[in-house]
Amino acid sequence: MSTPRRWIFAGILVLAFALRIAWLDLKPAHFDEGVNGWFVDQMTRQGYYHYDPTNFHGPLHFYALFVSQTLLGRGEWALRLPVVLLSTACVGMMLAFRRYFDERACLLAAFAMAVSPGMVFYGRYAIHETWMVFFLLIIAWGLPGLWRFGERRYLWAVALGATGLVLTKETYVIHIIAFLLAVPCLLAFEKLSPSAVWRFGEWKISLRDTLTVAAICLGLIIFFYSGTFLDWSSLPGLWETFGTWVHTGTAQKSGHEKEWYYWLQLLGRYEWPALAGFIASFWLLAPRQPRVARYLAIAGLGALIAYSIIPYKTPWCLIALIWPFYLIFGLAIVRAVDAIDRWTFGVIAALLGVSSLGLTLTLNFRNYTDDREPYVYVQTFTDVNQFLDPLRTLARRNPLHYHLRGHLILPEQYPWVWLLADFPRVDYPSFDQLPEPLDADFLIVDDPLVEQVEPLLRLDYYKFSIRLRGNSDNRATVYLFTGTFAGLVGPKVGIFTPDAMKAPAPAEESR
Amino acid sequence: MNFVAAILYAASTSALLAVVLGLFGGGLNPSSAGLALSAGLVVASATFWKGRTRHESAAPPSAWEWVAILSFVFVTLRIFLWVVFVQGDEIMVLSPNNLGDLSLHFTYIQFIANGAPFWPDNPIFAGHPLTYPLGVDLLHSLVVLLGGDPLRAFVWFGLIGSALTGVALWRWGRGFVLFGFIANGGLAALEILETGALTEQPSAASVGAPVGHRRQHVAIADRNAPRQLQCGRRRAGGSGRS
Repeated sequence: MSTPRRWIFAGILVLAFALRIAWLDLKPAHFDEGVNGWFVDQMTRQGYYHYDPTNFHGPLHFYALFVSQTLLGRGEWALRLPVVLLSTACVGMMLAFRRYFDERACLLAAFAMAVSPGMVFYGRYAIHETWMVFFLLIIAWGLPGLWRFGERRYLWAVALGATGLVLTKETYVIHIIAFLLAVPCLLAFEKLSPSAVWRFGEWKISLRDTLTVAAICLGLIIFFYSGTFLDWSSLPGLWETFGTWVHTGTAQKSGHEKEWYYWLQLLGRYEWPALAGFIASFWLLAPRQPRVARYLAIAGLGALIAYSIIPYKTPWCLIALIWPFYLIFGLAIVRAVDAIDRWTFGVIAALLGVSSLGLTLTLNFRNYTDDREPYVYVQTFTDVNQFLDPLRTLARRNPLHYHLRGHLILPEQYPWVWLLADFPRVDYPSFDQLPEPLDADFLIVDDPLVEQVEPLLRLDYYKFSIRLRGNSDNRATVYLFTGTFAGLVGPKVGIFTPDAMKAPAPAEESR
Repeated sequence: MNFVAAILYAASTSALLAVVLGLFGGGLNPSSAGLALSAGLVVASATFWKGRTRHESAAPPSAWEWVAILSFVFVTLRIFLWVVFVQGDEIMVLSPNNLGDLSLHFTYIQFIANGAPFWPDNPIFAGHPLTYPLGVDLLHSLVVLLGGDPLRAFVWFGLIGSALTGVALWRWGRGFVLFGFIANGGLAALEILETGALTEQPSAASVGAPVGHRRQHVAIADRNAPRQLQCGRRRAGGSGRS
């Protein structure tokens, strides 16, 4: 690689990292991040991750989050950091494809991924999807290498990539089938329209190498799924999970069901370079096109079709589908620049890249909780900071405030159970089992229950309403005891005073 | 190997300088802690720079040596990622052997970080000088003085120390010595043949043993405060949060 291109690539990596790490704790913890964080707390308590095949995903992500939280402390920043690093590594992985493609195409693909609104948005979330992208990229890099060069390192790449997928999310099956089916599809299509010459290489891998790789990958799967050998009861979950996931994906009862064209809608809304790559894939139907590009396009299209058929759709899955189209986008632009007109296609590529960057900046740093943005999906609103900020200020001033008492009377406990895990006297009672007396330093009450809860309160509270999560009408009312939170709440916040006729005096009650 | 020496030089320099600064300043404070750690950083950088061109070649690890390396890594991670952790309102330790030790080290660290006059008295034996070899605790207290979390620093120190130990053992006798180090439990390890369990505790569901109440952080720190004030020493702030 020439020196200027090295600098360009370094610049892309720095840009990718900066976009992902800047103001990382801007968004309040998402519901799913709360779930993941709670699992990390369970790991701290139990000593391992207990895999539950009926509800959640593979273990690898949780171990990464556990290490990060153990070393850096509880907080959105620490929880999201592993994914930030991984997402930046995905951009770096793009350059590895220069073994198969023009270096300029790889740089363009890396830039498109670096500034992609989806890659950045979900690269700033402590959820599993970026791991999928990372391992898919490793497999996609290894498979053509096995085919063409037959060297051991490509076998390692494919096997470790597949192992990583298995350790990450149950949807690995779809991607592995897509990779496998793409081979006969490509070979069949080549009968009609031959690819550019790209011969099979000599196989340089011994049986011993294959067995070693298989043993280590199997060992890794067993190691993580057995709770690092401490929870063998989790291991059967590896296959038991598919019954649940087939049901979840097709039962149409989850609330996450979408139309088949949902992914195309998202591509059109946010991912213009990837959409251009998707459209450019049809150019690969012409004879004598690069074999690897065709293979990746078929595999990518296969996964996209499979995900489109499944009714259960959440927007973050998109990033595991679009990465091949960045490479095809880069390849198509380079071809067009060389064959048609350098300036026209250079400007088109630049416009697509800059537009993507603009969308990324708007989405990630301005509209990050705006539920009109389809990527912002059941996101916790910044309203919760009106409660969390004064609480954390108190705890910072005096650690004894970690002992404040609080009741969260809400239908859902996430992400609170993780966010407030340092406050051991916070509980989550159901409405029919409210503690007596109900008064505490703070309460958060689901709005439909406010009328029933307020008559039970006997102290004065700052009272305000917050919206908890997007894509729902989930509102709650926050009560902060005036004696504890005095001076920490804005002047416009109203004060709730209990009905004096019904309640004893606070001083009397406190005795 | 150069980086092992560099980090050890840095730790030694910081600790020794901290002693000198503590003796001259009457105790440690965030400024002296910053100075001591910076001096360590300079020494480490100089060591790295001096040895930057030295490359020693060695045969790559064999399959069995990889087994030894991975075993060492897993054991290290297991021990030190859970060396001390917070569960609800309790401070827990994985190894029951740490129940007494950790509390003692924690006391030394907080005592020094709170600005104890040098040479410090023994915080658990009033009227007697502290004779315990407290180099690592001193280093730890420097980190705490700069705002580091005292409990989390145990994890960092444990992992970094283990990595350095592992490299040194590898250089000494490669995989055999590395594996020998973690297998030095002797015949006691044969218990696994009887129990079939890898857990340190009878129940896999409760790996930790409580070492104390979390708010004892505050209690430990505050207990020394009147004495610090009487001595006219400035008490370091911000170290009470776990």
